[in-house]
Amino acid sequence: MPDSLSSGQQHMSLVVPGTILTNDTSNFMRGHGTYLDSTKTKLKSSVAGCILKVDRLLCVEPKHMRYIGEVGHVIIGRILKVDQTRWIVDTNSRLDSYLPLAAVVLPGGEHRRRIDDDERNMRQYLKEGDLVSAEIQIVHQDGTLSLQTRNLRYGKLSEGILVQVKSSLVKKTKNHFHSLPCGATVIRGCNGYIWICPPTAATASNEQEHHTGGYVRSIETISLDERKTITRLSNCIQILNRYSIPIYDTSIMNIYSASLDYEINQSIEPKIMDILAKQTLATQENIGTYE
Amino acid sequence: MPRVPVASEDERKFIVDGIQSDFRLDGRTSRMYRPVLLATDVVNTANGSCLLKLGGTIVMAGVTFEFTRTSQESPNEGRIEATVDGSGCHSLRIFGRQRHLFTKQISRSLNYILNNPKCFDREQLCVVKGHHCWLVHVDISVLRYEGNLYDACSFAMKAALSETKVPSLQVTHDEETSEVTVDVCDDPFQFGLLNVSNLPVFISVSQVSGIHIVDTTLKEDSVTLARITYGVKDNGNIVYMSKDGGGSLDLLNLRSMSKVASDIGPQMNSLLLDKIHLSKAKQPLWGHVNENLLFDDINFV
Amino acid sequence: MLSNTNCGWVDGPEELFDPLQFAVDLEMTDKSSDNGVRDVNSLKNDDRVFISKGLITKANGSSYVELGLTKITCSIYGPHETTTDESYSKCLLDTSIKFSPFSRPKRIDPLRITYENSNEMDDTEEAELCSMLEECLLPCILLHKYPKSQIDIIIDIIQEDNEANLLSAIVLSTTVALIDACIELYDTVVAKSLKIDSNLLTVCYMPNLAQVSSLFFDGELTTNELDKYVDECIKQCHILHKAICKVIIDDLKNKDQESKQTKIA
Repeated sequence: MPDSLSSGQQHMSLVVPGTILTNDTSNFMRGHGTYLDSTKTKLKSSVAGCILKVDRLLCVEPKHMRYIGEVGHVIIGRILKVDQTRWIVDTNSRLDSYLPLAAVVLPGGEHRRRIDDDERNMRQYLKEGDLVSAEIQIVHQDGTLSLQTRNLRYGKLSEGILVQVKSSLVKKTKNHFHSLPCGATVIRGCNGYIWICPPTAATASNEQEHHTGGYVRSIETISLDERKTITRLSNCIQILNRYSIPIYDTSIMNIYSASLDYEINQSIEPKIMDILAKQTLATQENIGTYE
Repeated sequence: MPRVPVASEDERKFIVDGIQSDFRLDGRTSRMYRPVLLATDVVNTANGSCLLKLGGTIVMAGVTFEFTRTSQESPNEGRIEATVDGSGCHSLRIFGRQRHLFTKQISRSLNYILNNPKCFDREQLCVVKGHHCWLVHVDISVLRYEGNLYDACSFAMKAALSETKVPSLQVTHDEETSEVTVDVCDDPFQFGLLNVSNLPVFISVSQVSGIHIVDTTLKEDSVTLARITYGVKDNGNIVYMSKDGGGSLDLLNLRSMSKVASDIGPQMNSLLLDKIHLSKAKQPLWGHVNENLLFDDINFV
Repeated sequence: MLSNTNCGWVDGPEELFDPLQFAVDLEMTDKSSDNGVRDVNSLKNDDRVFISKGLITKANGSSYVELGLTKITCSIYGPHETTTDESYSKCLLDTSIKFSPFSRPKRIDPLRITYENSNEMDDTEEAELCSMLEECLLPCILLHKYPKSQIDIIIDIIQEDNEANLLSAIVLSTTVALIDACIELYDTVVAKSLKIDSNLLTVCYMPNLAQVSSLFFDGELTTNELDKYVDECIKQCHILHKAICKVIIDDLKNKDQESKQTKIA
């Protein structure tokens, strides 16, 4: 993997596991990625990463690790199993996540009561392999995530491309649903799953969703132009991932416009990927888009 | 074929629609391969080796020599066998408990082309007729699997074998006792090369709703019903053929698929040869000390 | 020990069918020998076929097939509930093929341990035949009719005559056994291997659907030659298909008569 090209992190203090963070254990609280050694006098790091200090809380934030869910994150998951009253979902986190039937807007409106039939028909709404966009509702003690799709923005994802990236590249922002000017919708799942689909699916079906809850399949075929845009975006996001460039709507658009100089199938060639990644970084440094 | 879903129904529809309009998930056309990157002679301890990337699929091939006695059935031939190991590869898990069967099947296919006298001349592995020969192991380990392992393995095998240094030997024949003694030369710069010009490459042609595509990715595999793996020589002749995927084909499809394979086979063969030559030229530049070897694409050709 | 009379198959079948007798309407009795692809003598020997079903009564379906001198039994157990959770909607096939120790001139040691990672060519032969057989059967069985279940196919190779006939005989016996087990099939799949010089081509073919379910080739041919070979194989498959049809229809007729007789009695 090429080195991370992003710079400007020298001011952060980086540690390796076992580094003494502080001897003053009474004044600091143990956060993620730290442990108290056996003498209980030293606070040490347990992961490699940069030190994060929030008031008295001392954490070490690792660079690339499996996704750790937080309440409110927008994520994308794939249904692994249909259980009695819930779906078991793969969300790229340590443990499987759950989407309870009660946390889903079913066809027929939000306030419908759940009946036994719904339990029996669960596979009709979502079955093994299907993708959903959802929000994390609860993070349980052991790290299992409970999801919900009550908001009409969430729900089953239809046709499009899923790109898997490092979850650390997707930071939580106000909006995770982007209708890009190039003519595609991108959902940045905080768990590193990024969904690219044609714009109609998200905007036009906003009204539809009131009736279907997003669980009814649209039969429209995607035009070749839309497909080309989606594919180009997918290739571009894969380049961002490869070069560890944080993924925001701005960075996606930057690399997208840079890639327009090349054919779509050229953008999977390593040489072109290198050029595109460097161009994107250059433009981003000029504008200074991301914090 | 994978048993765990890698794509939802709608995703699959999207993939199939794309293939039908000759525009696949990464923008390729139906007859296009993902970029091939390779570096030969990457392992010091092996006589020949190759690290090959075919898109996201990464395989490593190593060739080692063993000195043994010739078999009775074929006294003037050496032996060669290939193994494919995927136990270290996490992404092969989609095959579940079928994983071993899958890699086994690839090694079997490789063995077929290695033991086909029209593809590989095993007489060049014979040291003393009726006495000693080389047993050549071609061990391939799968580092990452993102579709089309057959082709990647055969490319890596051909590249590794073409760069293999055969240890040179000194055979002395004692007339009186009619004993044959074989000594290995100490000079590391004295070695022979194998003739692999006839060795075919695998071209896997998949049929997706009437369209024939090559070099399928994992997601495309989930919509593939039938796939035929062809062993194609550089003259376009077919030397091996086997089917997987669990679907059936009619004769028309069968014919056009073999045409596709015999068209693409020579192209891939010459591409591979070019890359091997380039890699040979590049070797002195980095030697064996470059620690980024496996990671940096700059080292690949 | 079983006496000689109890296991009639040891002595060989009483009836032998020459497949060419069913092939009159295909007009290829003379053709195949004319174009010099195969010589007349071997044709007679290799293609003698005997098919019987219901040999192993404990099994849900079974068959005994002789193709040339290759003798194979096949028994089918299932469909029954599967122990694995790998399939929800489809049926799993579990095939096991075993060479009997005396099936070849050189004894095959039945105690030979078959390691997963063994490099012996012979060890993988059974596994290879298994995967070829599965590949050939998958398109032919209505797997979606048997969700959450599996079908066990157990094949015993009693005697192996030549390499070319083996897979063909295995597929033939499995098809007959599957029909005997009343498992729903799209078509009767038959296989034929051609071995000419060093080229070995096996084609598994479903005659009614005109679909090739599996194929295997080792040798060297140009694409045009290969097409010709495939055509030739498929012609032979049609002949085998007629033989199977005759056996099964005859068997059904017999059963029909038997049941009528018992009714009268």
